Amino acid sequence: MAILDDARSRPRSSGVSPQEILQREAQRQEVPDVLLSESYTYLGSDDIPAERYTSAEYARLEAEHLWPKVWQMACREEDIPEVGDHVVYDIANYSILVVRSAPDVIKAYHNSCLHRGTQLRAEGGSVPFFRCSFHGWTWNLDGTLKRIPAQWDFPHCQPDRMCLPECQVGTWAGFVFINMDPDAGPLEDWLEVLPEHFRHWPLEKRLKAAHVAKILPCNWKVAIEAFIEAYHVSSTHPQLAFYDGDTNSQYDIYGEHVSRFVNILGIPSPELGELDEQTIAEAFARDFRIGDATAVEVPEGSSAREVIAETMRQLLSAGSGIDFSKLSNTEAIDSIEYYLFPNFLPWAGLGIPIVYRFRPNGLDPDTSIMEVMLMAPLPEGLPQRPPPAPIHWLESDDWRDAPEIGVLGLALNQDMSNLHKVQRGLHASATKTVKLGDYQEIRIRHYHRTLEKYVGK
Amino acid sequence: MSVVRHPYDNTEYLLQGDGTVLVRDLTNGTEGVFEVGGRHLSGDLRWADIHMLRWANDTASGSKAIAPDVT
Repeated sequence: MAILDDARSRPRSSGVSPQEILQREAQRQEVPDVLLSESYTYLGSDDIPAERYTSAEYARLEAEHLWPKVWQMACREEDIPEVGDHVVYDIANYSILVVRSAPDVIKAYHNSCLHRGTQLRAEGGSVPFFRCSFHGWTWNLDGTLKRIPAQWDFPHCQPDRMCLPECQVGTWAGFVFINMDPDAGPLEDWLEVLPEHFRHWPLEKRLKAAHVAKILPCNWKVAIEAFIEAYHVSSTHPQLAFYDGDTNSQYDIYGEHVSRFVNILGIPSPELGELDEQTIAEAFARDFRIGDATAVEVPEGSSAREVIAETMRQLLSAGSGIDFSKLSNTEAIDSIEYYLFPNFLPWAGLGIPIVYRFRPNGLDPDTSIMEVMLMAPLPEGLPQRPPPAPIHWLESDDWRDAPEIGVLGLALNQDMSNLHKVQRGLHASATKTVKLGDYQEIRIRHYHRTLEKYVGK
Repeated sequence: MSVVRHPYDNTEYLLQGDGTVLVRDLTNGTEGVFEVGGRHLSGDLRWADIHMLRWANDTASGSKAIAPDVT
């Protein structure tokens, strides 16, 4: 177990720690080794300037210095299975075409005609080539020029110098990443510890079973920060207190790009004190809709955590046709959320198989785009891979209108009720600063340090 | 009718047929009726936890488990 020297030198919740639980369970289950360690370092207690979330100038600086320089997840490989399949990935004021140009080649181009700048594609689909709708300039899928109508009028446009400008492309775990910077280092370096950790949870073997997107009334960083700490749980999701060890979650930071939390379920919040195991199990089963909450029973000598993990293992097995009987408790029910700078949040484990992505909405500092994907285990032996879920743009303010994400929508409704108030309050702030906890909000502080390297303070 | 118990406040939240939420303080017996968005409508109890009002409303719906079924 690799606990950094600093990991236990600062105040923590009085509740049982995730490591105490996971180390104990590792005595009788196969708990992934990467979950049996901590990686916390104190990063100071400085405030964050509020204008990072509210200023149009800061959003412009991000568009100039951040988004064109960083690796970012553009789509799933399964979103573009056939040659000619493509997606349009919009980020800030940029638009990128991500296309399968050959059976084993994915390319990315700036989505702008070299003639007068028209977007080559307004949305994804499947095409044999990219033809501008304005004057018909056309490129092959490999980015080479195919045709300029009335070529005689463009003697200054030599075809071999008229390829579509490319972005770098990399893939990991079934996701396609792009980087607009031709001088950027490889994706593999950017990912830091993620490949090592996710060897236990190969997301390339999952199916994107749901994909919901919604425009939020807050800055993209406000949105991310609402989902990378469990400190808010006892206030925003009080119903979880019966079975969520919220304030004793574990927070880890790695390198410059990666962080995670491990939020233990099946135990009560330390804020609530001790509860009987039957009450915990019934509340979890009822709220997570796993089985009949009135029939759940915690046998003498067992625990709510054991019972609900076993129920989840059985449900996962039945829902996928895969044998999950050996899945550890933590992979079955806990919230194990990773973050990759700047905007990609893949969850480990299987009971809550979420991927989040957050993007600015153009250059507007007061709105953003949130995407929720559910990554289902892909049954082995299928005659062919099922198609991934298409994106569902949620127009309403009620996430229950996205039934494909189940009870997650209920929790998101609670989160959403805060976000516009955060954004408005940041504009109204007299101190012009944001304060952060030293431990529970370390992931926020960690990514802001990286953000500062690109955008400045 | 769906009743949910607040873990900290010793109150309970009851979604009513008209879409409002009756909140009952189990310590002193006072009650209040609120819109899901938090506006107080009637009763001596004039404050309620807005997140529990939302939860009392939403959890009564038929949402399914998170883990998707692909079989």
